[in-house]
Amino acid sequence: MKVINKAFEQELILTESNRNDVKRAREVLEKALSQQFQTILLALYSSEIIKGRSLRNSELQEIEGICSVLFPEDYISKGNENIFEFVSNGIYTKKWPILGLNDLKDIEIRIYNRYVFLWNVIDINEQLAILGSNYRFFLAGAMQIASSYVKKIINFEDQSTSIDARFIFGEIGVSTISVGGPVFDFEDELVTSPFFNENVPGFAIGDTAVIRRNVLRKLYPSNDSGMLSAYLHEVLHTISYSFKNGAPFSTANWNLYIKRDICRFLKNPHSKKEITDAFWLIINNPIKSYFSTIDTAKEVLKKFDDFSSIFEALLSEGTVAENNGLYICATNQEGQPWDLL
Amino acid sequence: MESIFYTAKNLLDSRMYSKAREELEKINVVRLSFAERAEYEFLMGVALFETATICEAISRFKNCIRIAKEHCPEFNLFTPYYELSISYFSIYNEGQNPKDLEKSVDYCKLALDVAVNNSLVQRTSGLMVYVEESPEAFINVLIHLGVLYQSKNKIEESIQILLVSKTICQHFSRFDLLGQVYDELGTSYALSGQLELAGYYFVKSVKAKEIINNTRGIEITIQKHIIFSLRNPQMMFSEEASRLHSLISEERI
Repeated sequence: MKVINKAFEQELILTESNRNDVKRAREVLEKALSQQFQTILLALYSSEIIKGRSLRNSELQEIEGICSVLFPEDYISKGNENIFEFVSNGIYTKKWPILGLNDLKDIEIRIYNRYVFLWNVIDINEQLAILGSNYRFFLAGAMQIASSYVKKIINFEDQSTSIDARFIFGEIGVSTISVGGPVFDFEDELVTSPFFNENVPGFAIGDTAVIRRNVLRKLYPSNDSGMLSAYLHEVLHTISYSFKNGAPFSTANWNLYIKRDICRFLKNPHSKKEITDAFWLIINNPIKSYFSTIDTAKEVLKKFDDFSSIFEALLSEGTVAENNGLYICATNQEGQPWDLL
Repeated sequence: MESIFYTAKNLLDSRMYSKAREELEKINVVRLSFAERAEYEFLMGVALFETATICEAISRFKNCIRIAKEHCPEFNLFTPYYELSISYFSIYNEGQNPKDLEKSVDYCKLALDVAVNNSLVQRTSGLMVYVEESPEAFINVLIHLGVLYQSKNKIEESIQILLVSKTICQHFSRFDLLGQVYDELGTSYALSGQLELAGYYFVKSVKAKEIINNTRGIEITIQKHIIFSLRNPQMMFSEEASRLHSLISEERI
């Protein structure tokens, strides 16, 4: 089932045929993905409404926000009663699909050059990362949804597999990797599924850490150190999961992810101090010093290159350039060519 | 308490199948519990698969499943189903009888169902959600299913299944299995006539195998790549092939 709006698909097709501006390609993909994830969210909410679930105020505000973005001409905000009226009409007139959790396996997301299934989070994020986007998509139950999809391919009756449908499409912070595994440090959330506990500021699944700064800000409005505590807490979970196997994700992807993060940060020029401050967690890795006394951890930690050597490599290969004490990365700039699988 | 199958299992792990079979034959089957009996039949099947006829092994695997289903519902049926699928696929490869291929696919589907439940159950403890077990069985059965669909000449399904296993390998950073998945994706794309994509996945396979220093695996992939390329030089030398290869260095493995 496809959820992309025709206009956005056309824009993707147009951009695909003229690959000479990475900035435009990035913006078009971000907009197209936002529209698709917002449609999915509205479709899930519609299903919840049909089931009679009462929605929280924050959820109603979210629906209102989505409707005003997806249907700007039809929808004028007039308070909660009108949201219900608007959504009820939309459901009745099939303005958007209605999705239950079991339908998630069939949803196809349009990215550049092809459709991928919703559970194929890795390919969606790869395109965003390669184009230098600050947006990422996280879906907790991707593997369960993928397994349901396989069962469908082989015509095997699915025995009500439980699906973890927590997902976020949002803007991420500076670093996307820790020594434990991938990090989704959401600074802001554009689309958030209705299945989150709204009081949980972070969690870890396997080697993946997720931080939700919106929740942190709400829970600890006057405490700036909340982010660091949440980060360290979740990353420690991922380390306990991944270090016993030699932290395969981080050892394989450390340099690539840090290079991408540097280039993403240096879309705008920054001084050395600003870079050092932004990548503080990678440069002065507090976890590294904590584990430096444990022999088995020391062996794993040896495999990670220092931030400075990765940065120097980018400078010497010309990907990052210095001008009057400010550093900038050429690859993600307006007018630069791009290519993707 | 040490399992009565301890020695036999060690011998099977060391690929000493005849000795394992001798060891199993010493066991007094009558005194075994149902769960032990099911396990005995399974281990005997594995030993027979390598030392006698595959049909004898199949009969043992089926005995295992029958006993387990009738008397011990907690018995994990993944490996018996999986081994049955492998056994029927071996018979199919010798005789090319489509019925054997169908049986192999059917047992593979049953193995897949068990593997999904074994491998990808997410547990919650307090506020912590974590994947409790390794998805290894699930990935292995998906690769096998992808190969079976290649044999059925259902290449599109094979590609879809292998793409799922690729995503799962990447998700769990299973580089040991990812190379194998890329190999099979390369083969499926080559069979579907998408030669440049086939070449792309063979190169990705080498990259994945480099991470875990799998030298033998790299040799196998290169051989495969060369064999396909000799028949279809555009796999390596076309403009599209060069474009795809240049993308690889920017992508995660």
